[in-house]
Amino acid sequence: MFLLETIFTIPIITVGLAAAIHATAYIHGEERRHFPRFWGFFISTILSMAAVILAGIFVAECELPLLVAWEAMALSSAGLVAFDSTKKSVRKATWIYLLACHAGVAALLLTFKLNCSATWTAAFFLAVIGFGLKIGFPPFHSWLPEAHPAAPAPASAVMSGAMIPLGFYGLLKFLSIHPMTLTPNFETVGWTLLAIGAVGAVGGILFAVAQTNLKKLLAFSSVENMGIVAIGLGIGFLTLSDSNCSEKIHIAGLCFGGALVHVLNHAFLKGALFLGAGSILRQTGTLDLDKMGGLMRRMPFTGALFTLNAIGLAGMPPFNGFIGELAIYISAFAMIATGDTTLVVAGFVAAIALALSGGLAVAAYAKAIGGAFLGLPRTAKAAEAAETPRRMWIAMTILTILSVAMIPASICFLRYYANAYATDALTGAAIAGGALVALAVALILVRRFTCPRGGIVTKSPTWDCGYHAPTARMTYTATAITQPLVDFFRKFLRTRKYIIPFKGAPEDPTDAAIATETDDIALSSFWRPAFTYIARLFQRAHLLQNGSLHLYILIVILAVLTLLAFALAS
Amino acid sequence: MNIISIIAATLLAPLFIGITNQTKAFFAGRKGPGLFRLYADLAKLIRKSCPRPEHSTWIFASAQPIALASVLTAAIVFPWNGPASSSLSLSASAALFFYLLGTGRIFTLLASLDAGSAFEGMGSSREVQFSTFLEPIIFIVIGFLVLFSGGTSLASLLSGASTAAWTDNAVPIALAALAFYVVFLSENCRVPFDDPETHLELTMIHEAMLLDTAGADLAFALYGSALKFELTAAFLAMMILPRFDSSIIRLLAVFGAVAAIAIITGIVESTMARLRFLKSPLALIGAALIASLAIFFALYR
Repeated sequence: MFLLETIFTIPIITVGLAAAIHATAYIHGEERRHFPRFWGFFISTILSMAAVILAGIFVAECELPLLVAWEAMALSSAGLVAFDSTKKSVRKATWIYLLACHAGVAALLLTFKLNCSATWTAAFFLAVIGFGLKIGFPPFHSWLPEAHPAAPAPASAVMSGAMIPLGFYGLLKFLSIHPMTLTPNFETVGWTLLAIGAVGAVGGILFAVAQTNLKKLLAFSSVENMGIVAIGLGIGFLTLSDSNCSEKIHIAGLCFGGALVHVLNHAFLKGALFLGAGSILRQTGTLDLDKMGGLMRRMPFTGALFTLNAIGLAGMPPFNGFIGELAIYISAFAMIATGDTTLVVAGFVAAIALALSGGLAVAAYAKAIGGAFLGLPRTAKAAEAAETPRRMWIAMTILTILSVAMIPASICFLRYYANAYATDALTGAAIAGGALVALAVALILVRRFTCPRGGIVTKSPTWDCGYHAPTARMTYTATAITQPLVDFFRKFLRTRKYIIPFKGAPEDPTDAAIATETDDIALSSFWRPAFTYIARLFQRAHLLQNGSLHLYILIVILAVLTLLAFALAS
Repeated sequence: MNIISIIAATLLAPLFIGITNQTKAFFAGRKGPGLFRLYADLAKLIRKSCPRPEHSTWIFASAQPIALASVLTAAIVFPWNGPASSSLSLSASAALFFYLLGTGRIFTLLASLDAGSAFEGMGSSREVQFSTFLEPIIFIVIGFLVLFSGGTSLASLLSGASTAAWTDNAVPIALAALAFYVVFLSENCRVPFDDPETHLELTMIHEAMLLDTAGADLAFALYGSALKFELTAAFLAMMILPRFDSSIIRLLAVFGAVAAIAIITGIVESTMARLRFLKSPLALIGAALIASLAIFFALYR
């Protein structure tokens, strides 16, 4: 039936199309000279993603096409990341991205080599590393917060919405071609995915909360959402591995179905959000949330679409992001209800990780919406920003319409294709969502009816303790909204604060300022030290390359002698 | 029957706030505003127009109706009549119920940020911090109820245990109820986490977010918090109450228990000081540990 292929192809087409429409206006002015380069890499990225899907169908016969397509996808998307290559930060990000991609391909080469009965577990872990480098499994996610802010927004949208989830496609394809002599150890698969997913979901969104760069925030939120998908798949495999559970096929159907639905929801929502971030960057010249503010009035369409999609991605009903999460919640509860110790523990891990990441996601998206669109503009550029060309918000509208269509579509999918457990709860959730919208409209009408002169009429300055001149500096910044949370998790986040203290009298704090920066902990505390160590290790090899010709000749003679000895011995 | 219970619940909601306030007045030795004060306030406010900060947007203008609509939807999916509830309530998941309350929260948050005042910013930044810690406790308690009842829908979680199961599991039920009572206090912005009395002070959370909300919008917000108070108290009541055969007696018992919880909350507020903000997350983490303890008792008794 090609169900898996269909699901992973939909984002490639839809997000790709919307991103292409957005890109025609996103790349403007001087940059239009580079149009051929952008479209060349963009089209080859889309085509190589399609090639990955096609090669995945035949992976059981031959895995080489998949690897070739995977590499082509990595190289062409690296071209997109490097689009703005005059900037040093972009070149650095491209370098990190290429490194991650090639480490992934190296792991995948070994994976398919080891895919036989004896070494299947090793092959599986290598597949988790190889595909996880694309998905952004912790700690392999470090390229995401580097590459996404560097890439042009349409490219980020395609990479985050359509390309990253292909890692799950590859992983599921790998699991489907396990050697026939072996029953795959679904318990190992399940626990691995659940653990990685739980860490990714909570850790990813925690770092998103601490970011002030909008695209970095969205990149970390991708780590979170891929974590949620991994949780869904993980508990699905754990349910399948349990022999006592009578309803396991239906519960697993709900787990896998929920995870796949979340892939699509994330693709549409995050695609639209990255396009929105691109629109903001084009109109204000900054991605720093603390330098925006008040954009809702200047950019009403972009603002409204960004807000709807962000609330959707925070997983709030009646938006579509909730349906996938609800499916995973219900299956986690169903696992707890079985009373089987393994399933109970797994169900609790899944439910608590989802709950914690859901709470933090509200903080992250309230920060993004509030910082960018609400309150007063904090810089002159933000105060002068204008709405984007129509194409840019039409591209976001396309994805938003698809998000709305996902609500009935995902329920039909879960009910009829995934044969899932408790789909009436999902239908009920959709009806409740409809009731919410209807009630909200009704209440707005009630207010119009009961209030004199039709409700909201008078406009007054914001109340600030009797002080009648509220300025932009008095409104809460994006950094300030999440400051208590960020401070609470400071041991883990290690946020750096750059404080410019009061210079003049304390009554006049206009000089004072604060900026914060939160680096990815995996990059700063693991990858960078690890690579520094490796580099130092290789420096020792300089002993052999000290410029002395005598040493080189000695090495050659020794090598020849060793080879001779080897040849004679055998 | 289902529609009648939902209407009864929506009509009774402001009464329970009145009960809490009267209890507090009794402890303070005051005469008190009366049980029906909130009804009168709502009737007055709903007829007033809503002044709005001059730079605010459609978010501010639509947030309170949306927030109230989401709490009302939660009241619709809530299984007031236990096993005799409507099919919508019977299938609804506990996750849906609490996420609907979350939708209300995010729109209140956004409205407060839209007003752009430093006070409202303070309130919203505290609200996001507290709600983050609340979510895991809520889902540990739900997990406990799933384990205990063997069902996954909200109705089956709250159907009440048979007398034998109820006496067997008295300790874990009490622990889970204690943890959820902490959630209840924090979710409804009561002492020791927030103080509904401290209008216009630096120390508040929920009231701070509503500083610029007035008129009909304020009526929506006040009614929404009263309904949320009633809903979360009813959730707690149904956790504790044993199974009843008649759904009318059950409904009356639930409302009686909600009134008792309102009185207890009044006593807690009269006898306890508010916690320092920095200590509040620790109290919530403590509640999460109590809820986890309930699970261990339920698993290994």
